Amino acid sequence: MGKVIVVTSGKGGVGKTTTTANVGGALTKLGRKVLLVDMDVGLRNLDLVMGLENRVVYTFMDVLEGRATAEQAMVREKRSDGALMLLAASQLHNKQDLDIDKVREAIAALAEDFDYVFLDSPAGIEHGFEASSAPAGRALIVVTPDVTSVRDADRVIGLLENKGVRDCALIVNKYDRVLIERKKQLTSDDIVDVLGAELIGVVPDDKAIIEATNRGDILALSQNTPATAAYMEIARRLEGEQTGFAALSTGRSLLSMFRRQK
Amino acid sequence: MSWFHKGAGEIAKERLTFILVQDRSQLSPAQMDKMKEELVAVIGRYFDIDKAQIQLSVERQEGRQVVETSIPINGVRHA
Repeated sequence: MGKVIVVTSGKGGVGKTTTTANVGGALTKLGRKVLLVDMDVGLRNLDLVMGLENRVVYTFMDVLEGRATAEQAMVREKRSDGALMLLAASQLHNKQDLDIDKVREAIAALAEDFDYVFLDSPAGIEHGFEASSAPAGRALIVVTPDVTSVRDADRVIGLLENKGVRDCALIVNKYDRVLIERKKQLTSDDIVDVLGAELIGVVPDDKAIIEATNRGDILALSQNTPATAAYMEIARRLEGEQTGFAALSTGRSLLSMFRRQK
Repeated sequence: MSWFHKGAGEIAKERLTFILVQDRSQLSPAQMDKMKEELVAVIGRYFDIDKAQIQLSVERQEGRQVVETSIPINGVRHA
């Protein structure tokens, strides 16, 4: 029985989809079998982030509505040798078309064949979020260090708790050491303190992420950069290891040392 | 205590702490003030309290919401 995890945030644009792809990729490097399900019906993007957009024939909606089997619909990620699989979202349906009971049933069946199943939730707290969180036993909350994202994350954590998903771990994304050192930005400690949830990862603001997305590569599978290290830490923590957070390690960033000489 | 002397990060944390009490409790600022007044009325019967320093927060602890209030007292009231 696999572990079913919803990746969510409330606010859009904080990096849910990129995080889902990379944490999934990082887990395959630890030898795990991982399925990523794009739950953003009508606005699918996970296929694009993974570079699989031309290989999607059937979608998760086709599986739910009996037009295809899961085996027909799942797309293999190339670099991971089949350890990382994608179920894409339908572009032809609305989020309201997701039958939550069917989603729960289908995900439970799929989880038998994988070590992890990640549900990449759409932004918002409506039906798409409900359908994504209903099958989940735990949640990864992606939050960026700004007031709007933290406020929305708080709302989402409250809603998940009401549904019985008590295991909510925070991934602080787009973490900018330079702004933090100048005290212009919320620190990860501030965010953990305000939200009262466990921290599982801090992903630095790394330009390599944008470049990898543009190429259709999963950064965690293609390059070693500071963000890759952060995704590997998240994967290890999901596996139960206690790791540090490289993005928070002491010492000044190289960039800030240059800037200080102005 | 001007905001000019604080970093934007610190201001962000203060603003969040304030707004999340409202979000979590689903109470408006007016309802919150009314609750404080009522607390003052009850507790003030037994203690001489410092009304200006009352603090109220709604925290998340182990998957539950917890209302916490801090009411500094100047002394007990003698009957």
